[in-house]
Amino acid sequence: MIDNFDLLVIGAGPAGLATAIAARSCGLDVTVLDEYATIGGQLFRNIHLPVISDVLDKRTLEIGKNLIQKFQESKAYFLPNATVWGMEGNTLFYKNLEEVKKISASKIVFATGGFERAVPFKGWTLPGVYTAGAAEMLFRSQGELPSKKEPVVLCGNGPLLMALAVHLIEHNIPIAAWLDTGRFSNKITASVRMGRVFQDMPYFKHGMHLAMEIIKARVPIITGVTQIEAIGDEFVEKIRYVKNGKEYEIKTSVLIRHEGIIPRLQIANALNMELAWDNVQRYWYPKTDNFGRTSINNLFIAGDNAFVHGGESAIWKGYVCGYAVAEDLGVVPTKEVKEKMAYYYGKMELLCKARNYLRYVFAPNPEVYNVSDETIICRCECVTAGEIRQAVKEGYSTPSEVKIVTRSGMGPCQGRMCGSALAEIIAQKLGERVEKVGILKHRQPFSPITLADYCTLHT
Amino acid sequence: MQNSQREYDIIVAGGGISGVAIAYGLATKNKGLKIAVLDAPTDINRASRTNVGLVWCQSKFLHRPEYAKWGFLSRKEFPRILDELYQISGIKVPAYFEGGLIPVLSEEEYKKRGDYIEGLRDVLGEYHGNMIDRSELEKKLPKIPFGSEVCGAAWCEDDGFLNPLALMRAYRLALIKIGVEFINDTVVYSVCPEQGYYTVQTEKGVYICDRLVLACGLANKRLVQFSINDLPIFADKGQVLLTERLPFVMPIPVLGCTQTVAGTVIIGFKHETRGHDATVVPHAVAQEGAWALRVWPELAKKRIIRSWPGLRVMPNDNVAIYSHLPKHEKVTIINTHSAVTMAAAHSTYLTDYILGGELPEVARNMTLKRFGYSV
Amino acid sequence: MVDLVRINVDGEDIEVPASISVAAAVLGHKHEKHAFHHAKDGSPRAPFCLMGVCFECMMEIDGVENIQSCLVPVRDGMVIRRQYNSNTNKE
Repeated sequence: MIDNFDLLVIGAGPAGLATAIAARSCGLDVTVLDEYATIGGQLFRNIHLPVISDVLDKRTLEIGKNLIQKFQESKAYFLPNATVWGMEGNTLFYKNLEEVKKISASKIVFATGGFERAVPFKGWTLPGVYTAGAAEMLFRSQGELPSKKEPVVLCGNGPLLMALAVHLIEHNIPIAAWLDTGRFSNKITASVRMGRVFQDMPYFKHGMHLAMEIIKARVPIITGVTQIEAIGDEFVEKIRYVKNGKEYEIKTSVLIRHEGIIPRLQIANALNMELAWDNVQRYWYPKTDNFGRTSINNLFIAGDNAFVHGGESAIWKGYVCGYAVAEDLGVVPTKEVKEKMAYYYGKMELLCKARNYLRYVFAPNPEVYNVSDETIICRCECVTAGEIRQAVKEGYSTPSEVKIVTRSGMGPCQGRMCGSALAEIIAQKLGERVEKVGILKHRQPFSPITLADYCTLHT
Repeated sequence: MQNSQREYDIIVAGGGISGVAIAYGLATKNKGLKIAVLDAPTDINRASRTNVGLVWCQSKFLHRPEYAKWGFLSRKEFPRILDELYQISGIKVPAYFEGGLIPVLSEEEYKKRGDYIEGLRDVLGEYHGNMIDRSELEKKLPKIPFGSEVCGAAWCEDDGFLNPLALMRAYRLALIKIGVEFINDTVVYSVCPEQGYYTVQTEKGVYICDRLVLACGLANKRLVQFSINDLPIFADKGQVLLTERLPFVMPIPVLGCTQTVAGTVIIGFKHETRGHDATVVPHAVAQEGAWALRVWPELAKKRIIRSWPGLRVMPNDNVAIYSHLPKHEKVTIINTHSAVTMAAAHSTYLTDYILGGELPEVARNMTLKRFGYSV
Repeated sequence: MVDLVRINVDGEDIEVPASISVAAAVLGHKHEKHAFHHAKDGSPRAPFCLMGVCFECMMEIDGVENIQSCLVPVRDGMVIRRQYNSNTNKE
């Protein structure tokens, strides 16, 4: 048993696997932990199963299989079902299926990926409303959605929604409508950067293919939609929206809502890493150098939880980060690393630039947060937009202050769901910029843990 | 001196529970005064935001009976204050005044606690509480299956608890409604005595006042330096764990693992002296968790969703400080680690002293005089 | 062919593909879409994000309450109970 690893990688998705592969190739002792039972992350998990290979496009499938094979050949340790919940110095506490364990390393890479920005709207707590990621996951699990073959409604903005739409079309699940919440002006701003996408032809072709499929299937795309509402008693029965001041309704039992991916920030935030705000995609991200080094010594971040560029970029970011770790440990002479890294670094830079176009095309429209007072914002504690606005009126002007008087963000998810909306709504009410309003503070445990498990640290 | 917007009769620096409680007393008893409260931004260390919300009289302090009396006095005023706050602010602060319990896990602890209570009864002449055995404890909290080691508890009927965040909100809203200016999100940098008035330098500029109350917790140490350079207070670190929501079963609070009105349970009672270091140290707070499990084993399966540290504002002799500063009788400092318990007393009995009168009899020895300063 | 495992959901045995998550198995096969009624306002809730973020998929799995069921793959013989009436605690 090793007392202290060279490197721990949290997250076995594209970035985490690539980090481990690169670090192993430099001869480091590497352990990768993931809260799920198998490697691959949201993108590549279980890709050997037919139900998933049916859904994924060939290119993604190939990239994924290749990465997983390389990881297995690298002989890095993999700890499955390992939920990292605490940290003291360079020691992590995690829980697997049986018990709480401690593990230490000289360097730690957090590769926990992104998650979907939760955008509240009236009725979004009703069963039958899903994020696009959830719909994708259900689809990959079962090859169908709970609606069976009834028409579903897609609502929002972002590449993931396009990919999902095509999966639905390919599997003959009818789409009643796509309600677009994006801004036309985004497309114009973005077109300036259009040239860059050609630097990444395969991806561009893939995007065009998706768009063509959606057009061919004649999915009714409705732009300029506001005030979306899910209506129903126990489940979604219909949805309502406003366009050009007029109200419309569509009958459906499944509404899929998406407004882009944002970095998973809980750990970085709880550890007081320096953060920065992206005003285009409207999210906070941890400040890193080009190799994933954060503002805290020995802690790195690789992949979408540093900045969202998508799964393929995350792989290159992971490789680059793995070499940087080796360099910092003095295992490999800087010169050798630099040479090895040049190729990966170039790849990473190119992809990130190309993806930058998407960052503008799919920039979220801040108007989506302009929800009615009775809309629930904090799902855990059932706090409404009206209660948040009332607190702002009383003079509470930051997410943390509004939280303590409204309980928004105090539930089991600790603000993962309501955090973005809480800040946006406060900013709107104050007429202030979101980055000035600030961010909800996260704290350990990074994931809930039973008291009995927590207390094993004492004995 | 009242011609500029930034000039006040009284400025209360500090918008925590002590600051708002005092400002409330000043504003309701002296309707003509122009008062402002200055409150710090979120990222400043603020003890009032980390509080459990106990109104706790039973264990402070055998060696300082006047402090115990002060606590009981505050407890008596609470229902009236909460009612007033409700009338003015519209916020009903969730509160239970049905007593408080300190569980004991051995006969030895039982006896030790019992001796303490009898000691208190002796020095106070009157004390509404006693040791109760396990069966009596079970009658008081019938929905909690106590651990097998729990052999009884110290019981005091004058204890209780409330939601401290709601209390702060109610005070603050009430202050605004009765015309106190609330200036938030601003750090107080320093205080300068001038000819007959004080200037307060802040992030949002300079404010001027005739009289000043410093209720800035540990930051008082920094702010009083125009008068004294070693305020006898220190940071007393605590860390707590918060569980997920449970059905509400604890109308009488149990010290050390207390259920909030929202159903969550706050665990922790540690006192550590680590300067201003306020990081959560999981293995240290796990010790209290282990104790809570012995008291209430059902918690074992409940999930911890958050932990946080807090720095109590602890006067060197553990008693509160209410005091003018040497040569500055128009400046009053307040420092206490019992801001919730004493809030009602702070709202009721400190106004005269701040305006140049006397402290109430029971609090008369709580000035800086006891540390050798002449005030 | 997909491997199947047998799990028990609210007393009923069902067969689902191996290696999918409990949340996906329950959502896909029960078609009732509920996970629980919220303790605070009694509103019906169901798994929302399926990636460990929203905490709306908590179920009792093999006797342990409040498990985020989207993070747990199904295993043969698993007993799952949805928490319809847990911790009701209206303030």
